[in-house]
Amino acid sequence: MKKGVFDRISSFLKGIFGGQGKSLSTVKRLTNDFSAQSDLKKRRLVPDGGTSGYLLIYLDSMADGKLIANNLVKPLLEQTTGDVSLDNLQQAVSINAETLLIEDYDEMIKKLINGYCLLFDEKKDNVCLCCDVRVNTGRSITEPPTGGVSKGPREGFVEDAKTNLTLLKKRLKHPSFVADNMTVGRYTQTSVYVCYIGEIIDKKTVKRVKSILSQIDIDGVVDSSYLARFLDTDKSGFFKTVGSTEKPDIAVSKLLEGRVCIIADGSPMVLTLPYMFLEDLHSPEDYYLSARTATTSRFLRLFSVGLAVFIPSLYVALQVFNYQILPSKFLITILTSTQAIPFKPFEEMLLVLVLFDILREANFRMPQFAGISLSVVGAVVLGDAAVKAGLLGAPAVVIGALSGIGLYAMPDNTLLFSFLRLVFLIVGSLAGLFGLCLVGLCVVGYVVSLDSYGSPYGAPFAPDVKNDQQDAIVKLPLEKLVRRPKAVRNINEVRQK
Amino acid sequence: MIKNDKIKYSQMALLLCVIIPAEKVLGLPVSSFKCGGRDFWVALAINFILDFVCLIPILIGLKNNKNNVPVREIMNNAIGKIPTKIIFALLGLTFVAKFLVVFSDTLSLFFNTFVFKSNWVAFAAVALIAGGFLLIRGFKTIARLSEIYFIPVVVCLIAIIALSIKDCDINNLRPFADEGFAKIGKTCLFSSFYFSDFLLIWLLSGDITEINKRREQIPLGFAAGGILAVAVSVVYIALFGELAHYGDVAIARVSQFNLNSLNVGRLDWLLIAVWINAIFFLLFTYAHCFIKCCENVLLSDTGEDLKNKKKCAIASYAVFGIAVVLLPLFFDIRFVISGIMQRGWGKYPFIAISAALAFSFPFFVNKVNKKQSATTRVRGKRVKILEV
Amino acid sequence: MSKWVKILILLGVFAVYAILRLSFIPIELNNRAIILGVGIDFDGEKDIYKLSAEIITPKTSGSGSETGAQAGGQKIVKGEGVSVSLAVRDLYNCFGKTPSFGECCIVLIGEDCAKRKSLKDVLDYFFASSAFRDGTVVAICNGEAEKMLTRKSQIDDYVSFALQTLLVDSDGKAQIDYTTFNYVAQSFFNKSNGCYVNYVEFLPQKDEETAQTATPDSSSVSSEQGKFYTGQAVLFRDGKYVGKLNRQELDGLNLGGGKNVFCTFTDVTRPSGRSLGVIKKKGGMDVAIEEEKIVVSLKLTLTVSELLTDTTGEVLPLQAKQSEKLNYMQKQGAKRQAEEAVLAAYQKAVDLDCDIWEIKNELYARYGKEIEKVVESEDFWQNVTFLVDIECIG
Repeated sequence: MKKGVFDRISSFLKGIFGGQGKSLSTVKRLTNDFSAQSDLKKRRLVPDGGTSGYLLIYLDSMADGKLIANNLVKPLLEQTTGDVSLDNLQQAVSINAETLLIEDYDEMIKKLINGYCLLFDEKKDNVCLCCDVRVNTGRSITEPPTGGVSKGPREGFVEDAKTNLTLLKKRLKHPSFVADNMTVGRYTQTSVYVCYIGEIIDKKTVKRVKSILSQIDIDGVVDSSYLARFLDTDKSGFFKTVGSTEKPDIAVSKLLEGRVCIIADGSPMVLTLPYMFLEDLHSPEDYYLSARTATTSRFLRLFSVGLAVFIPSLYVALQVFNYQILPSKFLITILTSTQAIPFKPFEEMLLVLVLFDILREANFRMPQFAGISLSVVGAVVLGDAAVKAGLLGAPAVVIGALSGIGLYAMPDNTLLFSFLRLVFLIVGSLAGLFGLCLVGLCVVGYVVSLDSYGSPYGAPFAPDVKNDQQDAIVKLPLEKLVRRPKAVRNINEVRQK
Repeated sequence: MIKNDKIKYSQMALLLCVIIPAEKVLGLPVSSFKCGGRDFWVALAINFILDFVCLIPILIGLKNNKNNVPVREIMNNAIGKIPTKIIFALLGLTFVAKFLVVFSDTLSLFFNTFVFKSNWVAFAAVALIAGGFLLIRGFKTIARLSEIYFIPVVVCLIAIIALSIKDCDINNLRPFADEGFAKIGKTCLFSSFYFSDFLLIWLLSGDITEINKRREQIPLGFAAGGILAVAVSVVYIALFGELAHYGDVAIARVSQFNLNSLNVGRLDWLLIAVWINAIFFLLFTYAHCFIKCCENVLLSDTGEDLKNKKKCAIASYAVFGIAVVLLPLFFDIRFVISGIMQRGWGKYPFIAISAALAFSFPFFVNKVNKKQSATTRVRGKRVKILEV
Repeated sequence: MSKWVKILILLGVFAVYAILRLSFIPIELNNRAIILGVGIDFDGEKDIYKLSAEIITPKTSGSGSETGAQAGGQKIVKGEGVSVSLAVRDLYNCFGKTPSFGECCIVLIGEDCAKRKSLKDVLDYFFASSAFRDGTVVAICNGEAEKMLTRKSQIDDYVSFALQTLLVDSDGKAQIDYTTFNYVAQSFFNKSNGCYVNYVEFLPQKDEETAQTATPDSSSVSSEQGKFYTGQAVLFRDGKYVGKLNRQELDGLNLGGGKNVFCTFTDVTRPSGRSLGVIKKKGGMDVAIEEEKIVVSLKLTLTVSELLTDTTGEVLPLQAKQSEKLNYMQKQGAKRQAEEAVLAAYQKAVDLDCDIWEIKNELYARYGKEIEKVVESEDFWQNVTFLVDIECIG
């Protein structure tokens, strides 16, 4: 017989009857697969009185050495009965850490790259003990930079999905709160949790979300916003149909309304859907302050945003086409301030808006130590000196500044409103009030025609959903909010009795 | 255009309340005054009452039309395919004419009131592009927009009326009917082309859903729209008296008196700028009705493949757009239409056909219902029972 | 989306942009001559209308050396023509910017022009033009309207604003309600066919100091200081000038039918002391036909008080402090003066055949066609019995 045939027969027999060869071959496979990883560590452990050893494999960058030593090595070496089976060892070790017995090779790889360590018995061939010794290197829970409040919880999500899930589970202590785990991304293998409350949510929404997520074939998911692009129902990209939040209390309140939350490992932004346009008008504080204060704030925000979007275009349109609308004294003021300006009204306003946007972008990116001096440059040079030099008119600067600040009343949609503001400015300068009316109609019409996972985007005003209007702009006291929002599909309407 | 054409009963009511006053407060009061004198508002009120009377059988038919059978099928069943197509073709032309009349009045509003110098093509093309964009998203978009714009538009209209009341002189309305009711009757006929808004409900009856909830909504919306339109006419004549023949657009002249001091600027134009969206809703509704009429004429069957329907809708809108943009460039379309439909013979068949369609609607619906209920279940199978 | 659809969309966007850009003609504010007030005069020798318009001139920082650019920011542009509309058109020829009437708040007609020409001819252009609000103030001025627009006022740099403040913003405290296009135009078409119009005078101040400090006379601004006086009215019948109302007659006009209640009387018990003023006016004029005679009865109850201020120093006619009640003599004195004023106004109306209280309108509104012939007859006033019954309380 030829040697190759003998080897094959021998491997086959060993595979049936066990022996050192199979386990070694698994380890060998692992070693070969991870040969490029310089942080792959292998340690042979032999307990007192034992005749055979155990092989410990882990990735040094992902596993915590202390945890390995305390949770695994110490219990193993303390075994005085000689050879210990993996089952018995599991019982000893599982007091301190999560353990699993794994036979599937792919599962072993998955656990290894996620920071688990694998313990092989040299005598056993096909199973290993997997222990959770992952190093905890995430950011600690702090107040998120977006969504700061003066009253209410200040915890924010972090990059670790498990921590985020913990933050949710701390608040939703009910067995019907479900977090289905999925993995997305070929190389990043990002862990994604689809969270919902089974007793409330409409299962079709969950099914649809899971179906979309499972169809994503991408090399990597670095942030939850990657998933949001796939989950968006408006493919034009102008209006987002997937919400996001960095605060667990907000996420929980969305879940209680019948929405789905999606946690992606590596991202502090948790996605919520369905999402409706008016949600961005709501601040977390609205639910911790009195209803009247909340209502006033919401009206103010809506007014700010309306002002921010329309006032630059109105300023130009009224000057150029319908000056009669302006009061006479204001007209004299504008004439006085613009008579020496070399630019036309549209160019002047565009310049102001672009300068403001440049300042905003620079502010996000400039180093902190340069922040103050550059802010002074922005304020003094661009605001004051430009007016004095006769490059810009004071009314235009005031309107541009008001518009720029007013955009942040709905912070999630700032860029959208900035873009709309520009569109309206161009239309207003070309076609005056006529153009503004038509384009306004088109924009609002587009918004109300969208839908987000069965929920109309313009709800509760278009279509008219009376029940939901009690927490849209006008907010009723908490005791009156007895039903869940009807615009969000759910199977359990009653919130309070 | 095809999917998302279903609208709710409540949305229809709001839409009616918004669009009914829209075309009747532009050029109609001035032209009606020239025909009927200071009592023209009575003629408008009478026309509204007659419209309301015609609305009632349509609502009865709507209520009985439980299966949401489209109006084409009802008419096919009642009078046959060819007469149905002829009626829809005539209706389609009517909607084009109405669109042109309203749009030219809107242009007067912009040209004379907002002192907006431009040309017909610019206005028409831009408005049609916007209309096309919205109608592609479905007529449901227009209906939802009316829910959002309802409050601002109606509040602005009420504000325009209410703020001008202080300058009204009741003596301008008196003496009442001193020239006799014959003149009022003549004005009713003269202005009839601007009415018959119940035809919108008739045409869209198959697309209206959720009828059983609060059936009084459409009559209320209709009545509210009518009252607002008549109120504007009354205030117009009370403000201007015999001067009412000056100018083109009534609402813009009424709104001048909203403000006391002359130094505050024409802030009343801001009210009109919000209200003017009602006119755009009306124009887009007429465009949609024209498309529906074209579908009913050109397509062979209801409920067939969407692709054909979509092509038909796009082609109809394109033809509509071209007609609306180009026709006025060659002749004074406003004059021609008012010559036929207001001063000429066209108003008689228009009134007759509209009333006939309205009053026959419940009977035709019942006929269709009887035909459909003639099928029954026998041992779980649908069996058609032959009529004996 | 296919490549061709994208190209079509881009072309469509470009086409829309081109249509909008070429079709909607924007005119910037700085390219407009915004007219605040218009003055109309008539040159009898040349038989032409002369239009002068006060435009906004923004204040310049510095000495303002350009022609017409003053620290006050006032400038007058002129036009001439056989008709008013041609004179307006002439404005376009003599000025580099587009004259814009959207902010025009007052139309001043020179007294000479008002006497020579019918208001119908003078104002018809403004009625028909949508640029002018129907509430624009109409006034007759003494002398030439062009000169009136060049006056310097202490109220405002712009004469139009100054006059508007005096006439419109007085809020019921002026002696006469302001007259508008709408009111004047309606009088041409209604049965009364008569109206009154505000009369504006400029009363110069004779002051040596002001004469010394006055700036050199430029082509556009007069350096004469003074004040505007708006407490008079001019009567028109069918658009033609018929006469003026003096002070007493004006009071009578107000009492008989005006919206204003600000009317003053002399306190007969101490004529040089405080005067009496009307706080409230109840009642009105009623017309009726009794035994084929037209009876016009004016029944008024006037609440009269001594003119005082409230604790902040404001004169608020409706909230004047009620100190002591007026005595019988005071009330009777006020009653007599009120009745005299009303009768004087009525007599003037009869003499000039000018229906200042729109009695004919009221009759026609009430009785319709059956009274039309009587109303339109030339001896209408002979068939009218005018009864006055005024009671003063306080």
